[in-house]
Amino acid sequence: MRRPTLADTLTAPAEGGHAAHHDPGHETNTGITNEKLGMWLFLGSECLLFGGLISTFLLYKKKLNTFPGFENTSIVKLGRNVFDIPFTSVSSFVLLMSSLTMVLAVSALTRDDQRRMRTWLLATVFLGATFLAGQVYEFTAFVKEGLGYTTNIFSSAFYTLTGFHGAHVLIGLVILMTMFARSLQGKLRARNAETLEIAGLYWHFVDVVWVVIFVVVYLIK
Amino acid sequence: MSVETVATATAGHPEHAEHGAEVHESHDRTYVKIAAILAVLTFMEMLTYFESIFPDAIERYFALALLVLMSTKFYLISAYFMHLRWDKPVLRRVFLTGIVIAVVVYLVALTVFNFWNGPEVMPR
Repeated sequence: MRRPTLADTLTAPAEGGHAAHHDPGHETNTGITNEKLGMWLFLGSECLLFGGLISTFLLYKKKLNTFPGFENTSIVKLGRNVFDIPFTSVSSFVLLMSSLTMVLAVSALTRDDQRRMRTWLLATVFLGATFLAGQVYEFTAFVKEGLGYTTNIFSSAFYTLTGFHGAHVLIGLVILMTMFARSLQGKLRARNAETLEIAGLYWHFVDVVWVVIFVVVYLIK
Repeated sequence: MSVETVATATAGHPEHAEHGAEVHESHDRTYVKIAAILAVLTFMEMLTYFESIFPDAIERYFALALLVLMSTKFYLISAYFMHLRWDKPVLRRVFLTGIVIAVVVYLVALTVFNFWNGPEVMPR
């Protein structure tokens, strides 16, 4: 019989005797698996990346008129009048709902309800793809309005910020589709539900970042 | 208790599976409620775009209201959907550390570049 680790001793009474002997996370000092802790550390560092991009956007938006050739350019015409807020609001709603379907997929997997897990996972992929398609449509509309990537520093910062977010959504979609493929192969079961939960953490983070971008970039004047 | 803890606790223990299923049903209902709240908050955010329907006196508080709504949504997603509410406190600290460092660093950066007002310092 395995000798109980310190983590087992500390956490067993609180979590229930059986959990301590099955959760691989209890074999680490923190009681959390390295994969999960690693994902949270990664998400913490991602805050710095998006913080930098958002700050740059705000700074360039504010200082646009200080650059040669843009002294009389109206930031309102460049930004707020070009943005289609009702459309972006619907996109935001779609992404928020994808977070709901994601968390329901994780919940279904922990019950080993494979059918529901796959359904929710596919719904998440569909909603994420819809959001991404909306972003592509939006970018295309902006370019047609004359707001290209190199039009000015405001547009460069805008496309870089939202483009980086879009790239994160795309990576999230690839991860989710990989999870779906693994479930079809029978490799995603309740015992390794944490794998899907970690993928879900990334997806929710993408959603959380959009919550900030939607307000800071699109709504606040 | 985190969701994965419930999963691992119930795996192979039928006597616990029933209790685990109840916990999950309860969690699922919570998730749907949170999603409904998030939808309402997003709708409220969108309403601020239609300034004409609000009295002029209220418009000046839009930025503050939007920041409050944004923070609430941020909290709800990270606490409930990302399970920080139920997970180990160390994960909350790890994530909060990233957020706090980012906010402080970039507030300082914006201040250094006179974002809040003052003379222009960008290159001409």
